[in-house]
Amino acid sequence: MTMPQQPINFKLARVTPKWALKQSARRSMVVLFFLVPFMAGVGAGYLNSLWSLVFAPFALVPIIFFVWLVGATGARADSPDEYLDEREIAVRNQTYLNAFRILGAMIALGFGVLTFFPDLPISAKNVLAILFPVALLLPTFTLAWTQPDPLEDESTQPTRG
Amino acid sequence: MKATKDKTPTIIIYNRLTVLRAERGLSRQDLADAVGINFQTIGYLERGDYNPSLELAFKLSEFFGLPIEAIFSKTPFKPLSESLYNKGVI
Repeated sequence: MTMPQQPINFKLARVTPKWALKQSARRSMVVLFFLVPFMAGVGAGYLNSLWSLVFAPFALVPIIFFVWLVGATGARADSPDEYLDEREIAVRNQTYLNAFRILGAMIALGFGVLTFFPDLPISAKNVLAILFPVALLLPTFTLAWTQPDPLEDESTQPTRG
Repeated sequence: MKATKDKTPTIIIYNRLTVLRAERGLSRQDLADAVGINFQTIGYLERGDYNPSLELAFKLSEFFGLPIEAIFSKTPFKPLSESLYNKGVI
């Protein structure tokens, strides 16, 4: 019995560098996904309009990191049951529960800030506009953060001739 | 399977998967393909980090041609050689 043919997002694993499979590398990419655009935005804000274009390539960093994170997690966060085994289904379900809790906390924090600091130049619409895409990506980030290092390749080799 | 917060199973179920796989010269990938799971899951089972469902236990039992209690146990297994020697097989 074999697993069904894999969907396209599983194939992202082929373009994912090997170092990205390590948990420490995945965690770094999750942090940098948010940090790099923020720092680039701050940096661009200090420069005039022409020099701020220097930071434009940094917009690609989160996209590349997200593709690698999907590949490094085997796209398990967004896969239907038929592409996963029983352990992976349990892991995916736990991941969604954790992502939901994190999203709930982020929404509470966002609206809490808006309630206590009503003079901030941010509206509830802005908060939702940020949280919606984050909510879509959050299961992959959560899985990338929690999934332990994969087994070494040699463990798949036959144990004797 | 009940799991604690650190994801380790609360009930330890010992297994002989590593020995049985080695006896048959199978890689984790070979065994995983035979029972329709990811090879990483075989590693989790062998390390005791994951307890299989009854369905998976039956699949492994059928694949190895052994009763479930010969593969999984709530108490640590004796070495296979010791068990065979005590039964006078070797």
